[in-house]
Amino acid sequence: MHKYALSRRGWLLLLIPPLIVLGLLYLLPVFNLIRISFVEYDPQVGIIPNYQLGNYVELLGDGFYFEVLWRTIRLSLLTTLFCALLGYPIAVYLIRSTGWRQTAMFIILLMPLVTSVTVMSYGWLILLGRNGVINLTLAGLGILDTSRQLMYNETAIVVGLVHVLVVFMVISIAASLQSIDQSWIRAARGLGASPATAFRTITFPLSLPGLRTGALLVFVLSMSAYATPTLLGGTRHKFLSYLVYQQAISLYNWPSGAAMAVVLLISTTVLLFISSLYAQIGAMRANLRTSKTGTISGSMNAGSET
Amino acid sequence: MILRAYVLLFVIFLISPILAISIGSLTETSFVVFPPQGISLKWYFAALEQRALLQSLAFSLVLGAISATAATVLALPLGLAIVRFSSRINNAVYLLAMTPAMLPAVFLGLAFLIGYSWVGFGGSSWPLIAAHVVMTVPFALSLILVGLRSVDGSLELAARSLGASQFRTFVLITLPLILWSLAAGWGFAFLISFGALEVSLFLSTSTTVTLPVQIYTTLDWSPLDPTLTAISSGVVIITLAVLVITARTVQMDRFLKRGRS
Amino acid sequence: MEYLHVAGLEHSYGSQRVLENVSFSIRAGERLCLLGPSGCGKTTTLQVLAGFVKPDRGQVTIKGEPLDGMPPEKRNIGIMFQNYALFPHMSVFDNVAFGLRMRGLEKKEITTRVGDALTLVRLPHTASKRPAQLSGGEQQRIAFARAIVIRPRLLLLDEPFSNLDARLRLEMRTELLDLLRELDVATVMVTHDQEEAMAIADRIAVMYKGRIEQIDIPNEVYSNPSSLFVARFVGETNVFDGRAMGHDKVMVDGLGEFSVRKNQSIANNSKVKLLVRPEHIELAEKADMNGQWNTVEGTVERLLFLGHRTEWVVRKGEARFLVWQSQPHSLMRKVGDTVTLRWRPSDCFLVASEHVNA
Repeated sequence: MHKYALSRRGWLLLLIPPLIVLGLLYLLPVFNLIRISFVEYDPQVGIIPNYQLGNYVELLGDGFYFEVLWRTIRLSLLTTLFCALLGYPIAVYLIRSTGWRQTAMFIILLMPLVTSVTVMSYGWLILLGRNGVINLTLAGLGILDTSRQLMYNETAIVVGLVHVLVVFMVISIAASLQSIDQSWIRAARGLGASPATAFRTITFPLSLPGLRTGALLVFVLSMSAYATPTLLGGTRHKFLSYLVYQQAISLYNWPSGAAMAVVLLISTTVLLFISSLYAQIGAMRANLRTSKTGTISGSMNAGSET
Repeated sequence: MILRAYVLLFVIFLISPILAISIGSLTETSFVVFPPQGISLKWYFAALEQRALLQSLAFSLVLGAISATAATVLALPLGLAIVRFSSRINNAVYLLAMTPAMLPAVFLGLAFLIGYSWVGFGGSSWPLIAAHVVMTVPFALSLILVGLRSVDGSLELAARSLGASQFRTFVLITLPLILWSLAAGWGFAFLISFGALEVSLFLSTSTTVTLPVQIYTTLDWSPLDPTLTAISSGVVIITLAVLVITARTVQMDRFLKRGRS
Repeated sequence: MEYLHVAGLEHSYGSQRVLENVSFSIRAGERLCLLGPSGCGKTTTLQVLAGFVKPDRGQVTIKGEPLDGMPPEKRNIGIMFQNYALFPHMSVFDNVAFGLRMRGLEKKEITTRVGDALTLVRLPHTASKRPAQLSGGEQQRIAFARAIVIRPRLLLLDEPFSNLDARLRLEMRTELLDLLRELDVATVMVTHDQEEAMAIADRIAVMYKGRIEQIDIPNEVYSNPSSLFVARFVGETNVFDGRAMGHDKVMVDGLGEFSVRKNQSIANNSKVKLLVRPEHIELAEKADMNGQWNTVEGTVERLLFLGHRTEWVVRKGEARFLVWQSQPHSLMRKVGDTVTLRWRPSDCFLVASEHVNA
């Protein structure tokens, strides 16, 4: 008995005010940004209301811009990969633990996320800097004779991003692990599977949707990261977000900044689309295999596809 | 056993920068070194004398409270409409409200800067508030949805059949049962607003500077200033406090159940 | 005298039709049970009565007053939900008092009436407890008290026993029946359990695929089902394909000719199904036979001793007979033996084959 707890009229009354607010404060500015990305800009005159593709053409012809775009994509993929590798065992731990241990783990995971990125990057600066903890420790142990710069490189960027974003991976994977019925694993063990085999054939395939959601979140967020790469990567390892800021704020070139922001959004979306396409092809292949050999693992993957 | 050891290493990785800030802030030297030379709170007192830092801290706290409240007020009716009525339009509504959390922050920041400049800033803080509200709605909404979905719909129907109108049903039955998720949603919205940098960078004017913006700009020219560590660890303490209070109102594993529904 | 009248309910969820011309009426104080498998439309019918679902077509009236478009809170209909739907953040007292408070009653009267209701369900000592502190059976009784304390015009019970374990279920069934008799309130109950339906209801409406297949007193529904579906859903039945010969004879493929109860609605020589309940078939000695019984000789294929009865499967050719014997030791037989089965023509009946939908 779960229908019509709310009448259609009540539904509309609830929906309309927030939608008006979000429409004015959010949708309108977003569409306006896309519009601005097509207008002409002249450093002397400012914005000329003349719609064209010039901003995008300029970007495509710029080698520096491509280098930054490629770095953004490359490091985001690396971040996603490391989050998955490092986060999976933590997700397993999270659902196995109970009570205060679980709550504490949640809080520790959420700390980096909700603490200001600037504060967090500052912490890394203290740790990784030329006179930072790690340098001093290594020197004290005699491993290093001179202190080395551990900041301002791509590794530092990935470390910082993984640190902030791994929570999304852990929670997504944990959510899908949680939904696995323990009796399936007991059944597999009862049928003679070792713990490792049970994990490989039951647990892991069923956790793939969570892994996929987590990867999606981490990738999207790291593509659009700004403070972490800027503070940890230094001036020589810029991310695309920084260029947008520079164009819009330092150079007052709103149309070009807008075009970059749109390209950032589109390239993220396209990469996500490719990855989902890839996953679908994988699922189709698995289905074909299923129909030949009659195993059910393929159809299970396809079924969990969302 | 291996898992335990790994978890320990992982936890160290997660909290090490936070520890570095808190411990580093206790130094007596005029630049941050690690381990700190001597133990004192002198940089905390020094920070208390930096008006710009304190003003931005106060501004961030107020901004966070206002944005979180407004975001919760917007998200509650949205959540009710989405959960308690079945319509395809709800998918679009959900997407609209959730996308601010997915869009690149600079995309949003620039969109707000250009869009709101139509109306004009004039050194007022409404653009920041508006932007933070939009940014934090997804967080408030997702927690409210968890709350609403955990309320058995037949409770509301039972109240209706016993003579309560839609409104009274909401006030007497639904609201008390989802209060925890409203509080948690508010807490998360507050933390997101309190820590947000990128969007605020675009919208801050000389009179409206948030704490993350203040720290970010200071970091650029004097990275080893111990006042910064002091104020940063102050931020960590505020964050941790809100987080723990939030975690107490929410049973954390409800987050996991969201993935299933 | 009609009390509740339901006329021509039609409803669809999207392209799926869930109610097709559902009509029935009940008298004051009568208990009607909507019985059927899941998805048959019984719950939707209940939701229409409660006002949670607005039907596409059709009308509901109580004492001649139409309920169309009336919101649930104005209907004064008491509902006991399947999961009881007790408000978890309120005490038992506040739960039961809720409906009275909504009606703006005086504090004193509320206290008296809640006290009476709790006494009626024999739980006056639980008033200050939270629902979560009660057992399943206690929760059910509180839900019942909450539904009837408002003195509803109509009481709706949604699968009232499905959340109880088997032993408690039997206990609560008698208790609820006693309460309903005492209150003398018009009741519509929904269930998928035929035994519950027979125990509680004055009349049963068997529903299938959004329609009412048959509506009658329990005994008639059981012994005179109007369709193959009803026969199968209410109790076990042996079914055999055949062809009608006149109104009281049937030729069953591979088994021969049998006499049956007269059924005027069956056309001569039409395709029919012969239905015999397993408890109506007896194992007979050859010597017992006389012309009044239908008899079949077959081989025992399976024998199960179930305590209160023995279940036999007897085979003849392609046909299998399910037979329940309540005196297990009267005839000692074993698998492979040849036995004679017999049943009275008045205990078996025909339904037309076109009617088949189960």
